Amino acid sequence: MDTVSESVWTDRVEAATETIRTGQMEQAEPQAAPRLGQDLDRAVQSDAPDATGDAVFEVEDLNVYYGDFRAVQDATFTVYKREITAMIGPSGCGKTSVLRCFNRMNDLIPTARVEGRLDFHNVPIYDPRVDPVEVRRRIGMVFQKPNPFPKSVYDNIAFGPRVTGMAKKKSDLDDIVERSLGRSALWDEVKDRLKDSALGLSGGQQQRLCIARAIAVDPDVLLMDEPCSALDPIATTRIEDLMQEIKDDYTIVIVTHNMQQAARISNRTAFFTAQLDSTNDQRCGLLVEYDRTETIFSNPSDERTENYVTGRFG
Amino acid sequence: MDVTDTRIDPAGELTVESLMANPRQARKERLIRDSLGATALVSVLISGLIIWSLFSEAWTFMVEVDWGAVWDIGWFPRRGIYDIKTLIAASLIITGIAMVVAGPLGLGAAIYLSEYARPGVRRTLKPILEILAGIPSVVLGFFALEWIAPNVVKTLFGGPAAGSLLAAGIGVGVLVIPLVASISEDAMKAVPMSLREASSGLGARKLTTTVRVVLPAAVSGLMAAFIVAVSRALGETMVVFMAGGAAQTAVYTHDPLDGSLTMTAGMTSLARGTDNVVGEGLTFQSLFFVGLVLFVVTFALNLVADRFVHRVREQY
Repeated sequence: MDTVSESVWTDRVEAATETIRTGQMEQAEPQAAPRLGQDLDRAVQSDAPDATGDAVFEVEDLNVYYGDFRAVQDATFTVYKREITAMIGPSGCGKTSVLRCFNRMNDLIPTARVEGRLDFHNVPIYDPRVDPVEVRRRIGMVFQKPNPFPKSVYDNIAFGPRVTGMAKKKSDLDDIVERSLGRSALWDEVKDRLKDSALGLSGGQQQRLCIARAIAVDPDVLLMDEPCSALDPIATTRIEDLMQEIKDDYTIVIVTHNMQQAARISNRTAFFTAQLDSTNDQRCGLLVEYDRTETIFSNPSDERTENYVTGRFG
Repeated sequence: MDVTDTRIDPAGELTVESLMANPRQARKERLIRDSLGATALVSVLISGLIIWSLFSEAWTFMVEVDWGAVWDIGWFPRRGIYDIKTLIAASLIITGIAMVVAGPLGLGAAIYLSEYARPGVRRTLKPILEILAGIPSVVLGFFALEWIAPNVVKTLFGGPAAGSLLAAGIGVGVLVIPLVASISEDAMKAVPMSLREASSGLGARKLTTTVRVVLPAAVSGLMAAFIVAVSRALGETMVVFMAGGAAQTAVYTHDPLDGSLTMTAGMTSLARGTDNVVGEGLTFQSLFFVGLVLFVVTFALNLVADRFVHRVREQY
């Protein structure tokens, strides 16, 4: 990373840790991770301009089961508006399972079951009256492996607006396609090959196409499941830049294996780990700590978090 | 592994010899390769022989026949009237009816099994479907004659209660439903889950995902299912012979409620247990001519379908 952002980064980390050390210690007693996060919010508000009180997702005691297997145990945290929230942790710690709850993608797995409270703008999205299709129209998703449809570049972007009935006229559709590709910094590269198959694009271009496809339906939230894990470092940088550019308009939740990535791009970080359940000898995902990213990486309150972010484990 | 058998120089010096293949192993590899090649060759040879015998007898027929007899009023081979269009029309009508029956039912079953059925239901239904594919066609022929003809053809369409092209067509349709369903389902299952997720993630309903994403991506497999089913229907003999409503001869018709002979049924009615086909001079050879026509039609169908698939396929 370039030196300018690095120094800004260090300043912010120092400021954040300083605030914690001075004022708010007894209030920030780490009983439950989300309390800590919220208190810190108040604590560092002046310091971080993007910190607002608007909750997009409120998660409480979330449990995810696949058949008899409990993948996630009692996760509680809050995702805030127009922030990038990162979920990190070792493999099998349930972070992807949690992410897939946010747009009810787990519904596609017949054995999956979700318990607990998950409110999206104060609406419980697991209420039986809620149609998952309506949820997904408001919450877009980008997957681990680029998965463009085997259709043209244009048809990939136009797919969402077409099936949701957003665009009635061809000219509206053309506008959406151009705007979405522009936002994902892909327009210049593909504007002459809109009719070509999307599978002819490079991996990084395909992933940006998938981001463009997701934002074409104008969602409120963008969920990203390890969006860079199949990409080379240059393509990764482009995706990260893109996320920074669009985060003023979208709330982003990203699962990543890459701690540096979480540190570089996110406002808040949730650290998950896999804990061995002694009663049935199964590994179960556990939210260890959720806090501002600076705090997680510089001054975590849980030893397991510290071990993970300093590379002693995982 | 026999350590003493390796020819690595004891001094530890690496030579070309030490990297050479073990001659015994190499001989074994060659033997395996050659015998597998021989089995492949045998099936090619057999196919070649079949085509050669088909062509040679059919050639005799085509050279010696009075072509006026090949475009006449009907199929009366023992009297020297070999009207091929009678047989072709019956074959095409029956195949058409069969596909009208099996296409929607088979595809619908495939969509249900692949996209909608819960895993438990699918695990039960799929084997049942495959058992259905194993029902002997003579059983279905009997079913077509004794049940479909009086109950469907007569009641719904006002046709004869005995055999007719329609009864045989529906019977063949039932016969190929499992074929269509099974191959189509395999093709749809092969479409990556990630594409369905992408579509659902964009707020598409299940039906939208199926119609706009899964079916286009599976089209080459669906086409294969269709081709196999059509070939099977064209080549089906027992059902059409039993329920087609004609025994040995047929007057030209294109009314599905009439009885007629298909290419296969026409051949069956002549050649039963002996090659001493009774009749005019070329009656025996006419069988090969009909066989050749059937071969050409099926082959052409495969070619056309291949072209079509190349044009519309969405490769994933």
